[in-house]
Amino acid sequence: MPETTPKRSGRRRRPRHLLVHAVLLTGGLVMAFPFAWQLLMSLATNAEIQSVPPQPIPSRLHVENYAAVFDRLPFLHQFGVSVFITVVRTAGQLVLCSMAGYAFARMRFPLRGVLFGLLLAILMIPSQAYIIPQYGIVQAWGLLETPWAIVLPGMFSAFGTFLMRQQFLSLPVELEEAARLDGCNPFQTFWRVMLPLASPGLFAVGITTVLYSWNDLLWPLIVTTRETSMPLSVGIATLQGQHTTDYAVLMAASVMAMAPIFLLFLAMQRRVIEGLATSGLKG
Amino acid sequence: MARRRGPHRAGAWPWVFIGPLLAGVAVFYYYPIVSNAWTSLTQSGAFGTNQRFVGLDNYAGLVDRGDLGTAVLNTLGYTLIVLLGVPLSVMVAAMIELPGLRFAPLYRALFFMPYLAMPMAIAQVFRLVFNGDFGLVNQGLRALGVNASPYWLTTPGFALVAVALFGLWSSIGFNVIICCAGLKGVPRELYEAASLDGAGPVRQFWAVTVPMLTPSIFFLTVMQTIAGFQLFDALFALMGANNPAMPQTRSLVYLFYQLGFVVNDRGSAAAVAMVILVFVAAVTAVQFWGQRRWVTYA
Amino acid sequence: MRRRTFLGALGGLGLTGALAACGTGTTEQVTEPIDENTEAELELAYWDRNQSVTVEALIASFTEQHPGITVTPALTGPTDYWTRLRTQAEGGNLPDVFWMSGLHVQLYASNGMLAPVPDDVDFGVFPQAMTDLYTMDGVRYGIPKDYDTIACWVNQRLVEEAGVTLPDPETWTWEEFGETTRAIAAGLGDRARAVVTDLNIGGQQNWYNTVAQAGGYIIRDGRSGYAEPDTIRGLEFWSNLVADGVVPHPREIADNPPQTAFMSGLAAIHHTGSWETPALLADYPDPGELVVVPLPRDRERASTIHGLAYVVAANSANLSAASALQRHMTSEEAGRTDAANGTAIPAWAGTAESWHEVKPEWNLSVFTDAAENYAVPYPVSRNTAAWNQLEADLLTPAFAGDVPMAQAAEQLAQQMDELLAAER
Repeated sequence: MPETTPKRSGRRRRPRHLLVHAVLLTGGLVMAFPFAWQLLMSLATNAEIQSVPPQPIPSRLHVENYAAVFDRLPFLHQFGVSVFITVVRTAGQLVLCSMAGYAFARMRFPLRGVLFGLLLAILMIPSQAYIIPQYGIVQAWGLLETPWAIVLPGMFSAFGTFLMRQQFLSLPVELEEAARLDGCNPFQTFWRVMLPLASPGLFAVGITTVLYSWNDLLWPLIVTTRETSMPLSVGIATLQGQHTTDYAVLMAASVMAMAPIFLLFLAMQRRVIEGLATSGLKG
Repeated sequence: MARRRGPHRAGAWPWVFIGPLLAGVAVFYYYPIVSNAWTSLTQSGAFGTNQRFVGLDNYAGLVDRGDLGTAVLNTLGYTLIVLLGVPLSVMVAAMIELPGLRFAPLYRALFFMPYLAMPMAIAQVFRLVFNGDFGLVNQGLRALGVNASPYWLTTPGFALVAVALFGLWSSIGFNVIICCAGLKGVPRELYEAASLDGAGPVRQFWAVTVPMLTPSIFFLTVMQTIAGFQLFDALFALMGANNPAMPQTRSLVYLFYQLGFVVNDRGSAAAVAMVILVFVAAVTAVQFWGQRRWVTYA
Repeated sequence: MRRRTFLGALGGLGLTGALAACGTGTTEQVTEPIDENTEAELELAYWDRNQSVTVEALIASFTEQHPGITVTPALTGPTDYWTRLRTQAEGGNLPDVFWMSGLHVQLYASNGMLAPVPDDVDFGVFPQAMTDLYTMDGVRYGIPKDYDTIACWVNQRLVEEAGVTLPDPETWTWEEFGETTRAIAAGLGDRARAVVTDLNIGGQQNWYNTVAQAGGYIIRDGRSGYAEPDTIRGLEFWSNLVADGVVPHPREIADNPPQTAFMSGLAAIHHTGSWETPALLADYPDPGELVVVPLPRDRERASTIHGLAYVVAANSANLSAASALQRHMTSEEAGRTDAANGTAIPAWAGTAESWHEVKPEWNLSVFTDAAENYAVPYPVSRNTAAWNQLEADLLTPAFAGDVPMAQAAEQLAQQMDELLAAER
């Protein structure tokens, strides 16, 4: 939207924006600062990282930490597993959660409130309480060591459903009624009319699921034991040793793991904004 | 055909929409919850062997132990601090989405970054930030003339605040993005109308932005409450299991983890999980009940 | 190769262990010898990346001898390892061969998760305390792989700067240790700490040793020893040093771990285990200023010995092959590989000599000497972790001086006895 703002109003407000810029920039730097430090750590020696008091600036840039990641982990392989589980989980959640969220927001059916409450209840139990029974299920299905074991439980998300429900609730009812009058069945109404309007919600669910899958540690760690079936998050966790850990390499690995997601976010951010600018939402 | 039906009578359609999700949830979540509920009424060996029914003994034991109360208070305290992130995010998002603001994508990216963090790696940085002897927080305090320089992460009380600040930092990115997305749905005409009525930016914020964002605010409040009650990762990553302040800082989920996975008392751990469930369910129900007073849907 | 009886704590266990070795063991599963034609797929789980070199080398030499067997290593971080292992155990899906620690062995053994070690394995080559640690009710459940003992790492430069000369460390007493370290603390002032040790992670590197030196004990015949006056004396050793400012407050220790403080030249003495060796070898800026000296003595000499073992899952589908792999991973060849990589002191008698050679001037033989002459076993029971948690919760305030030690110790003894009674 900012791109399509008429020049007139932009010019009128600019002086007031100075304060806004100051606040946002300060806040933004506080947000980003730990990453800058992490980046510096990834370029230091392990001795420098652990020295007391800390020396935030490395004596020279130890780029070899990044090369060392490839020696210690089958990085590309684990990266591939991460991409696979992230794509499958995200696609699954987008479909399942937007459908269920739409039904909870816009359809009337018996036990709607109770079912929704029961759905949210799954977020209220410590996730560690799930792992032993869930392990039993994927083990019984013969899925251990496969990406499907990692993907499965996380495809069904109460969080995503709730988010999509809120998204659909905030959309105007008129469009839907118009579609119904045009003879669309509920699925067509949902698919052709409502879903395109829900793109901010889809974007939010998507990015959450991507991150959740990408950084998820406990569950994938339980169901994969081989180096080559692990996603990156688990691979990086194996860099921790019993009495000593090479934090420099660990930091480098986590920077490498984070970078693609960050780039993805930057790319998606622009596309969503562009998508919105051309959608009929502005009326 | 659809035209003949009432506007909300959709027949079997709702089940088509929610069926696939519910099937998966039943297998992967309801079954474990039911099995957890049963476990909370039993005592068994460390690996679930020799299970025997003991009624409510585990719950009675928790009440006797006394550390349940501390855990409840810590969890509540943490949740309240992290909830401050919601109003904060509304303000940040309102600023970022100001019409005509330059660098908005940059700000969005900056505020979103914490959400990308890998807890294991970033906690290492935060341990240095909060370090009692040479951490940035204490250096800042000293520069401001405050001479008390606590060991933030290892002193009871301070530790919970430090963990909550870390929680606030890591959750703000998501909150801001949800609010930004919510603001996308606000028709520009509303602002223009308010502007024509002579409303300044502050009035517009209260008269347009906040009411239009109530669905997002409601969502975030509910989610942050639920997430706050699940406090574990931040505590574990930042403080570590061997922290002298841990007995006074333990959250409910930490207590669950400790009972279930460290000291091998599965029955009591399952009872803690049920306590958490009941607690959060009650709070969430109140939030849903209250929403009709303040949440406006389009 | 124990040349001297231990302090009696595990005398009974040692005896029953010996009986089991004479053929009265309860071994039900029969492992058969395997040959080069045996086919099997095995998984081997461990938790320390620093030992991957050794583990992988040994797997390679094993599969070379047994081309029909594939061994998949499964590496996890040290904390996650136990979470995964207990999930696998409950699913009946444990790795065939895996690392075990003293802390957990009785838990897994008493729940029927571990296969007994075949009777023909010769335990004479391992320190007796290590054999005992992995023996329960007379049955051996693990073959020792390595061990560690406790001593003092000394930064000689800081001691010198403090203007202090260490007494003869072969004979020094608690009194001499106290005087010396107080003098070091006075001499160093704010510049550095006199003694660091991690009082927050359990007693292995500090109070287990002083309790034994004082003539006390942690656990004996299924009863807690924390209420014993000698045990309390061993605990007060530390609360006194904290009160005198010789050892940092537990709060400060948790914020600034002893390893990093010592590594950065901010502590004169690190009272800890042999496991520090690889990190110090890799990163210590001026290795010439370090030396290892034995712990001081009180009524006794004592240094806690603990180590890891390789165990086999009771329900392994390839018990014979798994057992062969277990033996291979704990063989003399394994000991030599471990020693050469410097990662841990190998348990196999004689192979440790090459371990001290990784840095002769540090006098690492102090650690092996302790194991041979005055080591005390690491205290365990069926659910060790439960009372370890109590130790952490109750003793830390007493080390910090917030609660009288005797009061904390008596409370601990009572609660620990309740847990121990529930184990049976």
